[in-house]
Amino acid sequence: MDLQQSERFDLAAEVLSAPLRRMVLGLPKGKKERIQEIRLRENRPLILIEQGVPLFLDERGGATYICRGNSRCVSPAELTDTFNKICGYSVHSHMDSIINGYITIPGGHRAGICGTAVTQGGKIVNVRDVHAVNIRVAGEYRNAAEDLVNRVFRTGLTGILVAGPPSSGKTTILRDLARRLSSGEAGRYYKIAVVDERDEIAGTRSGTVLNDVGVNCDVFSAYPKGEGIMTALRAFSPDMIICDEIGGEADIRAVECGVNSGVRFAASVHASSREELFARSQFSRLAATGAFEKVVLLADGNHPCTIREVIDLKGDRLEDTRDDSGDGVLHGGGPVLQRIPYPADQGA
Amino acid sequence: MAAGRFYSGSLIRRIRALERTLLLIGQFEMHLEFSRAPAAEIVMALREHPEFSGLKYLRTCAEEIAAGVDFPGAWRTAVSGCAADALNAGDAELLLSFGNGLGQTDLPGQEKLCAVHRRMIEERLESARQQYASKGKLGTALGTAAGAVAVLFFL
Repeated sequence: MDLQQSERFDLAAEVLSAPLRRMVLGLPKGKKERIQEIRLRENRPLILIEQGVPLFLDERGGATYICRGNSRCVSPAELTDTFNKICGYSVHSHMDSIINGYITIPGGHRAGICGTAVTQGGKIVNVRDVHAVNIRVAGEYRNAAEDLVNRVFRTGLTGILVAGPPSSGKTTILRDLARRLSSGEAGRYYKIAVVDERDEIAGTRSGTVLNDVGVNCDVFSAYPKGEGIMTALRAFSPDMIICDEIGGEADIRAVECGVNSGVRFAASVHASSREELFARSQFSRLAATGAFEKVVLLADGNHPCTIREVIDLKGDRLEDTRDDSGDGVLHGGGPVLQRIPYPADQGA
Repeated sequence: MAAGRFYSGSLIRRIRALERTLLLIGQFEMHLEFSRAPAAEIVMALREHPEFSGLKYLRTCAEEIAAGVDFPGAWRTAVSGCAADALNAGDAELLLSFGNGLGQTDLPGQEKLCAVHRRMIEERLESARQQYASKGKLGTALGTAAGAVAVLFFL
C-alpha cells in the first residue's frame, strides 16, 4: 500500500468521532501533509500539531495558530466515541496496550491514552475515565532508509541501533529498512523477521500487514520482544531481526541468543544525543551483547528520518557526519554527504 | 387447524433460536477467552459455523459489519429484526443488552457479561419449553378440532 502523507492523515483521522472527523478531513492537503499529531482533551480545544506548532480549529473548521474563544472544543461524548473507535469497540482486546498508555490503530499510527489509573499493588491494572487522546500520525517515507542502506549495508548485513528523540523517524526508518533488505534492494533478498510488539512497524490489524515491509519478511505481531525474537530464531531462520524500542532484560537475553546464532539485529532506542545514549546503562548492556556494530543517531523531530551521525562501536569512529558548518551539508572523512531533506522543506 | 399449527410452530422456532443463542454466547465466551478478538471479528467467524446458519440476526449483523458498520450499530440493526427468528420483544431486549456490553470492559468483565446473559437466556428457554409443553400441543389439538368442526359444518 503506497500512500501519500495526506492519505495517511485521513486514515488516522478515521478513528475520530464523526463531527471531529468531518472537520479535520476538510483541511487542505498541504496542511494534512505536515500534521504530526491530533490531540483531543475533554472540554478543551482540539489541537493539531503541525511540525511542532499547535494549530487550533474554530467551529467552522478554520485553522489558526492562536487559541481563541471560538476554538472548537472536544465534548466528553466525542472523546468517548473516539476512544471506543480506537479500541475497535473491543476494550478487552487492547487492555495491555491501554495499561501501557497507547494503542496502535490501522495504518500503524499510535493513539496515546490518558485517563485515571486504577492500580493494584503499585501496578496499573486498568485505566478509567479516559479524558485525553493523542493520535500520532505515522509517516511511511519510502526513502527513509535509502541513505542508511547505502552507507551501512553496502557490504552486507550489520547490526545497528537506531537512536533518536521522539518523532525523529526511528520506526519509519526500521520499516523502510525491512522493506529494502527483504526486497533485494541491498543486493540480496534477505530473510527479515520483524518483532512488532506494538504493531507500529508493520501496522498489522486483524491479521493483515498494512505497511509494506517487503517480500521476504515475517511479522510477529504483538509478540513481546523477547519471546518474538526467540520464536523467530527457532522457526524462521532470519538473517536479521528488526524490532522497536529494545532494552528490557528479556529483550537483551533474547538478543544474546540471536548473536550466538549468527543473526543480525536492527533495533531502536530513545536518545536525543550521543551523550545521553552513552550515559544510559541500557545502552551499555546492549552494546555488550555484541549484536550492534553501529549506532545511527537521528536528528530531531522537525527533521524526521535524517541521519545526524553514524558511530562505529567496534573500533574508531567510522564517520563523523555532524553538521558543524551549518550549511546543511554533512562533511565527513569520505564523500560530502547531503542531508536528506524533510518533505516539508521541499515546499509541500 | 393451520392457526394451531402456526402457533405451535412459532413456539418451536423460538425455542430453537434461544437454543442457538445460548450456544452463540458460549462461543463468544470461548473466543473472548482464547483470542481476545474484537466482537466484530468474533461475529464474522461465528457466521461461518453451520449450527448458526439458522440465526438470521447473526447473519444480518455480519452483513452490516462487512458493509463497514461499527459493531454496536451492526448488532442493534440485527437485533431490531430478530422477530424473523421468532424471538419476542423480551428476547430482543436481552440481546440488545448483551451487544451493548460487548467490548466495553476488560476480559473478566466480558466473561461476567456472558455468564449473566447466558443465565437469563437459559431461563427464557426453560420458560419457552414449558410454554410449548403446556400450550403448544394444546394449540395443535384445538386447531385440529376447530378444523374438524368446520368440515362437519360445511357437510
